[in-house]
Amino acid sequence: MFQAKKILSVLATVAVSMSLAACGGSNSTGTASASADKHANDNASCTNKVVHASAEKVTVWAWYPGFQKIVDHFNQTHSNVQVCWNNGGQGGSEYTRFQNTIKAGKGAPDVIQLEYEAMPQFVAGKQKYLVDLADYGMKAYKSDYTAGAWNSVTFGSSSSIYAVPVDAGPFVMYVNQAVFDKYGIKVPTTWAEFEQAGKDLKAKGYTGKLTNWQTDGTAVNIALFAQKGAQVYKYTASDPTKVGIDFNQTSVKQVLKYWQNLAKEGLIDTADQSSTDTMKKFGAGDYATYVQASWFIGYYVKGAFKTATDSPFKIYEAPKWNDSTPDVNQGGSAFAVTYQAKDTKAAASVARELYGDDYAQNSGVTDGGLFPTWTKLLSSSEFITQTYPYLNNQKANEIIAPVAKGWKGDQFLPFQTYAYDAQQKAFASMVKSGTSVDSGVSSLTSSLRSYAEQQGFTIESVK
Amino acid sequence: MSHRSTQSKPKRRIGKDNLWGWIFTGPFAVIFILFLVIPLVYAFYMSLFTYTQISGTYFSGFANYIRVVKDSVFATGLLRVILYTAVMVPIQLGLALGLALLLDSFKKKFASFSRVVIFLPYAIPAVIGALMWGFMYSKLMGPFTTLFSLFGLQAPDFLSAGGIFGSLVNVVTWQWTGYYMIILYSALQSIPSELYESARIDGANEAKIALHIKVPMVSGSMIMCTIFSLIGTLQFFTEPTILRNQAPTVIPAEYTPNMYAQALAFGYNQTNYSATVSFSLGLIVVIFSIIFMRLTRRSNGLGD
Repeated sequence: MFQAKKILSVLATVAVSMSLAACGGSNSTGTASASADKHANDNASCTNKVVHASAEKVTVWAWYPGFQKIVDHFNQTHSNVQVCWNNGGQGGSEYTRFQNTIKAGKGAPDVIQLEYEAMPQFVAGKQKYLVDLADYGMKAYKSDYTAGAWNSVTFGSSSSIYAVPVDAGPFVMYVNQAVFDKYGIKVPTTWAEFEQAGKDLKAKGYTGKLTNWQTDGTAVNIALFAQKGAQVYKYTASDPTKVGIDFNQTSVKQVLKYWQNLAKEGLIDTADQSSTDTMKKFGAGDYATYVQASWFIGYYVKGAFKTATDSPFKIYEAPKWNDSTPDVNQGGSAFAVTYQAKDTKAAASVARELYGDDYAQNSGVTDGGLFPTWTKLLSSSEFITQTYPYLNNQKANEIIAPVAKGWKGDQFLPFQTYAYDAQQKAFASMVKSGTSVDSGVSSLTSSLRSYAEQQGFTIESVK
Repeated sequence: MSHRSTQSKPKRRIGKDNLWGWIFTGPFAVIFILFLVIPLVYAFYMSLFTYTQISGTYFSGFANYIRVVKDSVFATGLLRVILYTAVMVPIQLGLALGLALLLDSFKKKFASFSRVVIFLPYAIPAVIGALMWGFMYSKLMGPFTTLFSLFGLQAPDFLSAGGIFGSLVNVVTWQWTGYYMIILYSALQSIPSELYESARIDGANEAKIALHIKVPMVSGSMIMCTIFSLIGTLQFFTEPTILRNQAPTVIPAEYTPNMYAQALAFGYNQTNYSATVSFSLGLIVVIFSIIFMRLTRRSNGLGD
């Protein structure tokens, strides 16, 4: 008896001390606090060469193409602060690294590149790991950025700003002009015409497919829903314990049924975007169109063709449902300041000024292939008349820029990676194993909601 | 068992012998504790906590284990690897035994060359092997499309929902058969040739010798190979993870329990639950191995 009591008390002590130990690691305050240590980064190692060695350093993680040039330009034009840049990995791998530094409580950069869809993950719940830049005068610069980009870094809140927008992915249609010319078919402007074009192409003997609906697509499907005015995810920074998830909407079902039907009729391909075969088919002219973000040209079109003149593609507006179909966006990223920033004020100014002047913005567009969120550049005639070699020297910005300006912003979940994985499975089963759209969207909605609840969130309406 | 216990009972002296024993086992013990015992204990410790974005980390006892038991994703993954085990282990072992017996019979002629060729896939890192197969399975770039079209046929869709099981079985079998074959082949070398001679005098032919002498004599090694294969397959990870890049909708992130653990920890930021899943899988693997060893107690030579 005595022995049993003793064991129990030992176990209880162990349990208590373990729970205390677990609590000890995390910061109990809700917001990221400010620091002002100007010398903490003196010995940080950087990919770039610092110009003014004695100046204060701010560490940055980013994977933008051509970023070296931006960093060097910043360091040459600033003598009191220097950027110390490292590539922390692209997308998901960078977020995992950032998450690990949060667990470790150290090792995060001062400034970090994050996609809009990845940001809620770091500001939701018990602690915010991104600094509210409203405290550092960011509000004054609202008009420098497009409305959609601004809404994406403020999460529908008017008082907090969690990042400085850089690029976006206006949603457009890539058209294989050679195919449409050969068969004498008009490029579709509505989704009804789009389907008809597919039927006509098939009837006239085109052996390729109208397009590829990517079942592994992530943000692309959110953009397709947004065109119908459907918001499937809701998350606002002002109420960080609540999330809205709803695929069970008439408009979402209409979009999914549209694609399911095209697949059934054999007009489209439903291959995984990340498969090498898909890009091979794209390069071989097996797809008449591709409805995608503007960045697709930099990441895929250039890779699919050996020389610019090989590419038969041109950009058109994405097909619409009707006249009130909104301009939508797929992807894009921004600079956030982390809660571990050594000198928060300096970090905030670096985040804003990295792409802050004309030289950097032009370099971002021409060397980095970024589609800008900067209103001044978007309206400049130089930008609008820029020609794209891989699009038959088309002045494509005439089409893309209005979409960028028209976009209103999207919302994503604090567990977007999980949601995307669930989305993929649900959509793939709709076009591959004949699951009905109705049952697919309702089970997707309920499984994501129960995951959210398991994670401690309260469910709210997406409206 | 009984033999050992009588031996260890009487004398307990801390002498030179004992000291040398500690010195010899020391380096191993340090590494064993550092890289096996501590991570295991730490994983178990982690599995007793829960992290959610809303409430942070808190002690939750065995709640995570209850969640694992009810988790249909984990159950599906587990059933899947059990199915893989049921199919893959007999194929690998059967092939390995067959090849080992063949090589043993054709000793002189081209055995050493064949041995190297069959063993070679094992020498290729699993990741490279899986990447290579991913390329070969590709419809547009893979050699199978050309090969099948020679006969006017269409190549099967290796990376489809229906084809992926066979495709993965093939990759793993290709990689591991040679390894098991070498183990069995070396076990065959240790059989004294007098046995064969007396069998031949008794009128046994080569097939009979193989079946009634060689196979029973290597059954211990066979069982060891089966355990390796069993443990490896239950922890299936590398090949589906690599092929997932080619076909993410065919191979979901939680295809096998190990992949699920990885997705939880690095994709969904649920390190604690991931530790629970890993620990549970570990337990299940141990249970499977123990059951298997019990069942084969008489011939595995591990019983006593």
